[in-house]
Amino acid sequence: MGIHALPRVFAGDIAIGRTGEIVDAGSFDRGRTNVRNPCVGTAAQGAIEEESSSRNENGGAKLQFEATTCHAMIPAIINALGEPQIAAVARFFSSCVVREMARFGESPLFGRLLRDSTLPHYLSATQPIRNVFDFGLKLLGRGERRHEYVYKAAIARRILMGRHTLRTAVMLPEFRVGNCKADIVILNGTSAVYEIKSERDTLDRLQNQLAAYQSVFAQVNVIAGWKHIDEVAAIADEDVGLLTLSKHACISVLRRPRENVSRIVPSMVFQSLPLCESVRILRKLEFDVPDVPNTEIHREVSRLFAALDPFQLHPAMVQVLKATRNLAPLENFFENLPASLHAAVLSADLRQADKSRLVSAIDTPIADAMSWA
Amino acid sequence: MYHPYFRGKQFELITIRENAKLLKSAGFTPIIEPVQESLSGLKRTLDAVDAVSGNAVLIVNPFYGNHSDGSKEIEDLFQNELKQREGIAVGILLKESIDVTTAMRLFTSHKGRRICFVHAGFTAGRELANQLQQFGETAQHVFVAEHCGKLYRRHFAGAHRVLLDDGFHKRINREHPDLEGFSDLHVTFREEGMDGFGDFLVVGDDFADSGGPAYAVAIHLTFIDPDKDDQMFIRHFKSDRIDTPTDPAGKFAEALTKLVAEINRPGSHVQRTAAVIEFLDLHERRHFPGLGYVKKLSMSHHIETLATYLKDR
Repeated sequence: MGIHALPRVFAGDIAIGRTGEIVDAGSFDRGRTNVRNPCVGTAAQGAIEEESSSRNENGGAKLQFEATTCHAMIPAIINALGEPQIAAVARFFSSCVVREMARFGESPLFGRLLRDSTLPHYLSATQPIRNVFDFGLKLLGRGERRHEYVYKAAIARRILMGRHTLRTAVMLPEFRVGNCKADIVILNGTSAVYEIKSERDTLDRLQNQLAAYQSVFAQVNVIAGWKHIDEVAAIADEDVGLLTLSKHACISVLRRPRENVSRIVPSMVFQSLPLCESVRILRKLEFDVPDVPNTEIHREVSRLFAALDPFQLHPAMVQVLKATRNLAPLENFFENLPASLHAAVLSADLRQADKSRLVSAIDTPIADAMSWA
Repeated sequence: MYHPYFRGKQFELITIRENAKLLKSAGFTPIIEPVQESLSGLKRTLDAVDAVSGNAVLIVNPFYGNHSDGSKEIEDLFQNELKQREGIAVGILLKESIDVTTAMRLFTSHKGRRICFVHAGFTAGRELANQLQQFGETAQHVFVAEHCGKLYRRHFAGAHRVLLDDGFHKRINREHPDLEGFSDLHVTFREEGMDGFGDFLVVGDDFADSGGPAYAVAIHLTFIDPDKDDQMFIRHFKSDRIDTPTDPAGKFAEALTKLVAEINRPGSHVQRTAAVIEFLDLHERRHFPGLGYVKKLSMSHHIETLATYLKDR
């Protein structure tokens, strides 16, 4: 089918998923996926209570219609888009696009990607690009080979801002542990890491990654595409949580994580944190951090950390990181952003002055954004 | 005579500012390619150069950084603040992407000022030389050695010519050798038919706006070896630990210990410049002032070393 054969639709008409919705494994349509899943038995008991879909919508999503006709358009549009176009859509959510828009009020990269994606063929040129982001994320969430960002967005939305709030929880994107980079870490009363294995990823490094994360965080989860689930279950220890994404980008908990603080290695925690946060943790634990020249602080703090007990360290670590990386100031800002961009913004680390520029940039009409390139 | 080429990042600008007096008394002319969005640091640096009646070249069409896509701000600077400051020459950067028409337009729009062409990849040398001749105007020419052979330089014979050679080999810090050659242009530039020479100090010609975490910390010090016909060499003092991105301060202390051992070694040719004395003090206090500051000390040391060498020649 030629791309022009499809009628234009208004992206805002495409229903935006219900926020805060976490679907338990029982509601997942296993019949259609043909995947025999060994974890489903435990999942039924471990399923998180399904939150009601009557929950209030997030203020950022302004247009919400159950427009089934437009829903029906998505598979056709996906069929019309080739891999390069989908790749361009995935890059809408790169931190580079977010930073350019926040810094300069426009993003030449986004303008190019918009053109490359061919999405403007299907959308009316007068609507704001915020709709393009929401629409783009919907497209990425379909099909056989979903992008990592779909998973990130689902965790940000359904867990960080669904199960928790920005006032009670903190999310650390791309947290470095040894040679690994944890995709998402969420801190509320405890610390939980989420490793994403999308349909496009391989599981080559998973074993090393899990071992590294277990030495720093209390809970370790893998959220993976269906095709990976059996293999992930074979690689991961029993206390690793297993999650997957439904066809509608809802999170299904197949196995709850079990908290295991005893595996935390204080020296690994120390190596993963900036020095100033390690010092704060020691102060919280009422250690005297010796007053030495700055070339020697690292050695001293390292020595003190090595002697800590994991059960003593972990609660202090959670408290300190929640204070130093507090997300509450983002709350109002997030209400003015399309929900699809939240995860990208969390990774971008914006300055205060740039935030309002970003908010006005995402209201730029598609036609104008095309000329950014 | 000596033309150090600075990408105008924060610590490069501070280096020029703090060495303005030395640069002036030695007859050195820094070339500044502005790369930062904010011009306030640049303006303060040019003020410092002006305060000692020093010379500098300011690139009006920078290639790297925030001003590369149009240098309206730099143009404005020349039209306003710098209007009366004759010590600040207009630098026109000639990369591969520029054509003769654009180069000549920049040249004529600054008529009456001192102009300095920096040849760095431009290929229409003969055409440019012909057009300049028709104007009967003189300009200074700085040639980046990597891009400009003898034939190219010949087109501009008769003008004031400077050869700029990048003596610094950029690599990952841990891959630097302990010792390597830097340059001999400070001895040989006249044999090359040049009126001056230059380099990219101990930073190198390629530009990176921000680096990732450094796995190794390295301190670079240049020196002139009288036993080797006054050739200039560079020592790279590296930290012992090179395999984690942590503890830059502790790694700096490791590298600094090696530097101090070299300074105190009998027969060392490293000059005890003001910067070296500051390194000794940091070692004494076991203090890490930040990587930008360390780079500043290395650059200041390089400038002072050349100033001392050229003083009596």
